[in-house]
This record gives sequence, structure tokens and C-alpha cells, in this order.
Amino acid sequence: MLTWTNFKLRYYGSYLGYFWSLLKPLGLFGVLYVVFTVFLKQSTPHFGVALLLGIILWDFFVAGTMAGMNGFIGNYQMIRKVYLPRIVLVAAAVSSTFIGFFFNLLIFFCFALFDGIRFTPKALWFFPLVVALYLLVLGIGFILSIVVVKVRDILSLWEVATQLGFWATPIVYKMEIVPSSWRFFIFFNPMSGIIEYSRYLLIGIGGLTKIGYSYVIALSLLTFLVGVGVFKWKEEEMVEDL
Amino acid sequence: MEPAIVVKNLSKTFRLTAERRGTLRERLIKLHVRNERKPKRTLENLNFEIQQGEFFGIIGRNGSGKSTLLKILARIYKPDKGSEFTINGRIAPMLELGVGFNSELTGRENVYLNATILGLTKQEIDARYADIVRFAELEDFMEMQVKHYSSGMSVKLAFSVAAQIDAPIMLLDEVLAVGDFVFQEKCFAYFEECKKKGKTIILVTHSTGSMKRFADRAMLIHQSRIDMIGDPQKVLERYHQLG
Repeated sequence: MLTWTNFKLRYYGSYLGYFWSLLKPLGLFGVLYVVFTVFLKQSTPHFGVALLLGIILWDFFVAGTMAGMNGFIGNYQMIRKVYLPRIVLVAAAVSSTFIGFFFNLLIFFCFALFDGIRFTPKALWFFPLVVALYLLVLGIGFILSIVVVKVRDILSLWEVATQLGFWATPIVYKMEIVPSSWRFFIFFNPMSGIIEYSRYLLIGIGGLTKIGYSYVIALSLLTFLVGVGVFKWKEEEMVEDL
Repeated sequence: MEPAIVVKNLSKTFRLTAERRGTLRERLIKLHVRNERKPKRTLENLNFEIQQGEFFGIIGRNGSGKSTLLKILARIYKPDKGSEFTINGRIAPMLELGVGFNSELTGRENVYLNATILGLTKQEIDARYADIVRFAELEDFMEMQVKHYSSGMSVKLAFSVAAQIDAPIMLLDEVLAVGDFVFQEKCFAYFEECKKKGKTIILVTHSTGSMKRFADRAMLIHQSRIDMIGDPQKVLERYHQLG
């Protein structure tokens, strides 16, 4: 219920509504696509769809964590006047961006079919990754929503961090081209695994190791649990500080 | 019969820092300056019981701690360690009307949103929707965005939603004075009906009128402590003496 309301409010007031939210990832995709294929003469097969998938996954990561961060301070009037499980407010904020992400994925699937990609049964392994991504975003959202009460400038810091993260994650490039001495550090970031493995499972480029896959799932789950823990531990104190 | 609310040794201390350091930048710059924390006692050692079916009035000057008490009972704030309070039954806090109302949404959407926040399920709201609209007298305006409502209209709608929360214990914070006199009378009638149904009502107010009219018992909070509990008439006299 809260999720739908959030989603609706975000896109209210403009007739194009949801389409504006598409503009951001698609615009970024368009620019990068032109730069890499026309200017830099990138000619890997399926470069376009791989890039699109990366951008969609990354965009949800950024939008979701940002929304989660605001889930607590943004609802302060409500929090100070009624008792309700506050964790739900943050979760609803994240989930409303998840709806957008879901539609973006549908667009990706259309593009992919158009590009001549035939999905194989292993594509089903993509769905646990989506769940992991959702849990990861929730976990980070919970932690940030608490931290931001005390340290407001985390808002801008996180924006910078995600912009740097965009390049520290294999979105415009593939894992293969990363020198092997660097690979470990890039894979340390769970988003790298999520994007790389999604591409492998859906498009068939890149690679997948069982250890890496388990690491991503486990780390996301852990982040989620830590996030819930931190939130429960500090929420009472933060309500008074809002 | 067990009492509806039992409060034992309830205290609440806020820790106020000398200065608010809300950003990392401020923290880094002032790393060497100690930020003193002063504890401020807002409620000190309250002990009282509220019986089931009682209309209990709470009165006190601004800043005496009444609202903090209500927020603790509503579970928004956590009391200090060692405080005990038991609430027997579901509690409906009406500390402010129209929590979560969004002016971009229509009246109908806001009813659903507000009622969800107050803890009703979708089925419950569906069942009560017609009553809510009738009580608010806004049959013709439900599909309109709340931003086009007059302030009276949105308050009426908010009150109607809150009135549908069917809890045995109700917490009210100065919500009586809403709407025009016709609507006000309707609200008063609603309170009387609740009282007849045997609901426990806790009302925080400054209005001597509604205190005299409804309260069975009253409590005066003065400077964080209970000054007096008893007959509303006498408590009101004492309140005026203190003023």
C-alpha cells in the first residue's frame, strides 16, 4: 500500500509520469552507447543489451539506496505522530523504486529478444540475483537511513560514492578486460558480481564461478541482516533526534 | 476488572547536546571541542492507573510533559529504563489528525493511506469506507485532490478516518476543536457514544469546557510531575491557581 503510494507520488503531476523515470537510465544508455560504438568503435556482439542490463541494475541500486536513505527522515512527520513499524517506511521507499526497476527489466527483455538473444534455462538463475540485489539495496538503505539522521552530508557523500561506483563496477566494460591483479578488488563490490553474472546468465557473455555467485548471494543476505540489526538497534534513539 | 493502563515509575529523559552537529563537516572541524550532553528530565516518576471505561483528562501548561506522556503511551518514544507501563487492549493514538495525508492525492486515496498508517487492513477500510465518507459529509468531494479542499474539509475527513479505528483505548491530543460547530457537536456526540460503549479515553486538552463536560477523572501535570489526580472540577481549580 505504502509502496504504491510512494510510486504514484513520485510520478505524479506529469502526464508522462513513469516515462520520465525511464529517461534517466535510457538517456545514459543512449549517450554511452553512441560514445562506445560510434566514437570508440566498440564492436563486441550484444554490447548494447549488455550495457543496458548493467545500467538498469545499477540504476536500481542507486535509486533504491537513495530512496531508502530518505525513507526515515522524509517521513519524519508521520514517525513523530503515529506508531508504526518504521522499518516498513524504509522498505516501502525502496520497494517503490523496485517497481520501476521491474518495468525497466521488461524493457530490457524486449530489447534482448529484438537483438536476437534466446534465453536458455540457466536464465532462471538470474532471479536469485534479483532477490539478492533487492536485499542488498534494502540492507544498505536501512543503514543509510539511520546514519543520515546524525550525519546529513552522507546524502551528498553517497551521491559521490555511487558516481565513482559506476566506474568501479563492470557496467560499460566487461570483467575480462580488467587486469587480473585488479579483478579481486572489483569483485569485492557485490554489484560487480550481480551485473557480471546477470549478463552471463541472460546474454551469455562473461563468466560465472560458483564461489563468486555464492559470495554475492551471501554478502547481500548478510548486508540485509546487518541492516535490519542496525535499524532495530538505533531506531528508538533516532526518532527523538529527527 | 483489570485497569486499562497501569503506569509505574515512568520517567523520560531527553539528552540534549549543547549544539547540534548534524553533518560530518561540523564534526570534523569541532573534533577538539567537547560537545556536552545535558540530560533533561521531561517526566519524573509518574504513577497512575486508568480504569477501563474511564474518560481520563490530562491537563497542564505548555512544556509540562503532557505530550511526551502521550507519545510514550503511543509507543513513539521509549521511556527511561526502570519505567513500567502496561496497556491492556489495542490503543488508537490520535495525536494528530491526518497523518500521512498527501495533498496531491484524492480524498479517497488519502482515506486508504491514512487508515493504513493507523493500522487498518484493506478489507477493514473497504467495509468502513462508506461510514467514513458519511461522517465527514464529503460525499461529493472524494474524487477531488485534497489540495483543493478547504482546511476544514480535510480536518473533517481526517477525523472521520480516525473515528473508525475501533480500539478499546483512545488517546486524544487536543483534537476536539475541529470544524464548524455542527461538526464539533458531531464529534462530541461521537465521544459520548464511545463513552457509552465503555471505551477508555485519554484526552489531553487546554479546554476547560470539554474537560468539565466529559472527564470522569483528571490529572494535572506540572513541571514534569503529577501535581494532582482526581475530580475534574478540583483539578481545574488547582490548574488555574498554578497559572
